[in-house]
Amino acid sequence: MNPLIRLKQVGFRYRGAKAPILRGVDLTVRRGDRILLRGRSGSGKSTLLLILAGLAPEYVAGELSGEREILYHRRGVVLQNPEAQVVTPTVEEEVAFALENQGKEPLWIRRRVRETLEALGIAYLSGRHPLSLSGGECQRVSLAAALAMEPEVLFLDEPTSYLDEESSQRFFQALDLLPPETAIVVVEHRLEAASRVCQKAYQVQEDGSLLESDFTPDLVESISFGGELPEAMGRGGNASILLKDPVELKARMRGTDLADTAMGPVLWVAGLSHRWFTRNGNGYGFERNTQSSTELFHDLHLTVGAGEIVALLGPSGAGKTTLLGKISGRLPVEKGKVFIQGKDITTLSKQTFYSLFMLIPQNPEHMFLAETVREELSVVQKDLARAGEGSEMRIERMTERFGLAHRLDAHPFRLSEGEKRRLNLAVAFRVRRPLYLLDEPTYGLDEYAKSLLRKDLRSLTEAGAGVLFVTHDRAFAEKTAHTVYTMKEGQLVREEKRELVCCPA
Amino acid sequence: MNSSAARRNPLAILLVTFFLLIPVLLAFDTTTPVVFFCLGMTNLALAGTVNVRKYLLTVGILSGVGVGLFLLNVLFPAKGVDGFQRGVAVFLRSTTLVSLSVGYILLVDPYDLIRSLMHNLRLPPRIGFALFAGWNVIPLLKRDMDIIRHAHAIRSGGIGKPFKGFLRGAVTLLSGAVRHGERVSLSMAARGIDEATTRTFIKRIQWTWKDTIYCIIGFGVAAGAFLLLIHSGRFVFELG
Repeated sequence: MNPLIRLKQVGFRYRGAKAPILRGVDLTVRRGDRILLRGRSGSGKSTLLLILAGLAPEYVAGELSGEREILYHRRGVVLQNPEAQVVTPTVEEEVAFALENQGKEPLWIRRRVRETLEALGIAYLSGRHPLSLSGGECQRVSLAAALAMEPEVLFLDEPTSYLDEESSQRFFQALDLLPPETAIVVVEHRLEAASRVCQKAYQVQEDGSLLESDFTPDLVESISFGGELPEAMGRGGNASILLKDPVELKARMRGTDLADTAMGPVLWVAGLSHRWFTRNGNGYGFERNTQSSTELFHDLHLTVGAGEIVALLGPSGAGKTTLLGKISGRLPVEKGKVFIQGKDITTLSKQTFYSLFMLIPQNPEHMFLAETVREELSVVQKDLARAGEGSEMRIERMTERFGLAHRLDAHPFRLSEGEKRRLNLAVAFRVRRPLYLLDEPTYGLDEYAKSLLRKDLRSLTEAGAGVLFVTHDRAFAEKTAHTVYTMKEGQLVREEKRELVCCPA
Repeated sequence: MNSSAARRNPLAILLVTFFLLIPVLLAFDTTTPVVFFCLGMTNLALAGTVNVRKYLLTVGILSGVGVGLFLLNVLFPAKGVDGFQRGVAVFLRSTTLVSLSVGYILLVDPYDLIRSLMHNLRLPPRIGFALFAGWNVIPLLKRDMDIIRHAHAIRSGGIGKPFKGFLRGAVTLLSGAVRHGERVSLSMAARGIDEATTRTFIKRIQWTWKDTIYCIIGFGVAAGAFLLLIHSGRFVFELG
């Protein structure tokens, strides 16, 4: 088969970075190759994909060394975040965008767009604004935009990291539409999904080199932390206890400040319902705007005990994030009650309410407020000192504990997805709260980063806190949570009561 | 989709709205704003359809400025000037300017205006589609700002000064928006926007002979009414 891309001893160094992220990479992509690029978060696999796609250093500030030969003429690229790929106001124009750039005849483009959308089963979305679609639909539109060009090489950068299980399966199934001579290069953490498509795998090593690999998951369970548990989190707790039951843990935690205040469950959701409203009419003309409502969920009941990890699964749009929004006060509680540490949240002052829990939003960047990782942790230190709460742990020790010691002076927005999540957790650890709420904490994380997250969450519960997280990642939920709920058709279904063995200290 | 309710090319409507706004901008009497307000409403009705409720609500809110100017002139009149007369004139002028501008904004789909700039005034697609992406991001910014402020408030335990909190949120939002812009730009580059030498469009906003006629009539009516007002002595122009 003809080569489409040749890399010889290629290296790449980002502008301002001390060391190159990639070095000595040799890779040849041939027609029909299906290649998986894997590696830890921040290892440089997305950078390698951009180099192969001819986008780095052309559109990414940095320096390329070695030899790169690009022999293809048509490429398709699907990036990680579906929202950040939307340019035009209709799906039809979005799919046509690249073809218009090639100067194709408009009638031919319309026909090609229709065929592609039909092949992907999303022709009904043609007139919609891409940003009004679900993440799964939006990502399939991005795929349609790439496929419409009949690419010789298709580059996929973690295309399913924002999608639920069903949507990511459908995404990879759609790749079956490609002719066998089309090469695919994919960066993906979901190895099972990727192995369905790829024949070869390459691992980006920690030193930036590339090695041929297989599809077996990393041995991540044996990873131990470099640092110790923060003093405040470990106070009164014992990291080596077997966490069989949150009630048992609560009993063991008696005498600690967190456990003493937890008379009932940390979180109790009683009979919570939510309706969402849609405005009818296109907003123009003399027609009257009317509203219709749909019930998203009804009469939900949920408890999170002290020392308990609860996972909430469910497809996109099921209402998981809305439920978190109601618990955290971002959305009003109209019907039903939410209690945190036995207190009805609607009766609390803002300050009391916010001091009862910590929220880590879906997008880790939303929590950031400083220019460097060091400042990020200093800001919270100052706030907490003013409020008389928080741990006394030194920033250096904290960053070492969370594997961020080498990024102390980096801008938080420039960290890898895994590092951003870990910075969020470092901040969360500094503020001791009885309840932790996490919205899709595994987005963009590889297996290694997930295993670290799992241990972090367990450390929180060992100190007596309750954790509720919503996720699409069933495997992570099952490995991490004591209780797994699935949100289906507006109802919560409790899946099982799990017994977890806590990680050794 | 928020499709356009305009029946004419957005640039043609912009031009005619501009013709109608100029005399009002120069006037310091009460007749000129009323005449051009009526002409503007006629133009609005002919050029497309506007949601009356939304229109009245927006104009109502923005007319607060006119009311303020009216009160200012009545309560603190300049020497040798009839404060009430001047106040009414200033109120009518500002309300007419607001009414015509709001009418245009609600009538024309911003995407169609950008398309029209690309198709009819040769705005480079790189800039045109960047404007598309910028417009797309506005509702996302509002959503993200809500989430950011909420996350920051929880993070700081509900303490801290609201203004400082707002500033912190704005910085985070801005940093996120810059990152979003970089990603969209990369996505456009990946789809060959920079290699597009002869770009085509599946949706074109054409300038037709009807738009030309519409502009000529619009200019004729606006200029005619203006001249008539000047000749009749109704138009008053003052500096300051």
